[in-house]
Amino acid sequence: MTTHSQRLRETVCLFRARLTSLIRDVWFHPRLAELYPEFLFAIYGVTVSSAPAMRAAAGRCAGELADDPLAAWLRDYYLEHAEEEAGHEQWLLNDLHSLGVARQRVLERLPYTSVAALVGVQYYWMFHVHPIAYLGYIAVLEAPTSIEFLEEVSRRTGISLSSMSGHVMHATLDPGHVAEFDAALDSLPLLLHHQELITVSAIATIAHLEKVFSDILEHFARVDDPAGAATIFTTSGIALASPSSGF
Amino acid sequence: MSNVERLQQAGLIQIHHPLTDAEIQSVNQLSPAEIDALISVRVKLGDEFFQRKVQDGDSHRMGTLLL
Repeated sequence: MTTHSQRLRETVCLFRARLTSLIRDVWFHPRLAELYPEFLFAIYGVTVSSAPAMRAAAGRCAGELADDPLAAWLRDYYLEHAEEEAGHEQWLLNDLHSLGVARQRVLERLPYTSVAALVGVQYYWMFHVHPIAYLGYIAVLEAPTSIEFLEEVSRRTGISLSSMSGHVMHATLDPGHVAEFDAALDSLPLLLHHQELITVSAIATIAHLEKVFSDILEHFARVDDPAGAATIFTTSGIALASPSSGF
Repeated sequence: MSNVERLQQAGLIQIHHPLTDAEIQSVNQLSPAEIDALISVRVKLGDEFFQRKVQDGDSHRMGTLLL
């Protein structure tokens, strides 16, 4: 019998080929050393929303949905994970700072519209449908980069691992999160409409992430155009750490 | 009309893309609402171009984002 998590993973795997291709275009970009700050900025926009969104979902579970049989479990799950995710955006701000992008510039710059759309749709579902939708978002986003891959990137680009601390910390801390998530999902007494909402949320997350990664690449494509490059974060003119330097 | 046929008609699965039995089974287990969502946001099942471009294992090594 196919479990909830197997069904969800199969669907995500089947329909994320374009997203994977775009992620690959970023990680293997011939000018990744220059592009990396823009990549971090996009991720910062997503990461800064994670703990508040999970707290909002937990609040909805504790409020008008308190009689829902899934609400207590979801509230505890979201609160626990909000605690784990809290402050992770600081790693990204530190990384950007180490690459020459001042914190104030990051905070003053408008996040991508695609990032707002990615996160915003989750608020619609959690407040107007059911907060279980956020599990579909987590299922797609919680997939940490491997430390071996990050070491390869560091060697290839010269970006120090200490300037990739957001990625490194997730690679180090999160390897068991996917299995934990799947086990938790399979333990829930989901009805068909819960399962559908989780899947639809995951599908929408894939679609919005495709746009986020397209935006990273499209923004960077304008880096050599003086008119278009004004807001783009790059390492241009910044001496990168030696490729051999460790974390 | 099967789910695979709906997605082919919507252009999300290339007609010439040979689906494996497992892929067909995965697509056909989706509900009408889930198929509607796929069509709405235009998320395509990987065609031959993407299958060629995405190397085995990269998906897991690269991760997705940070959460």
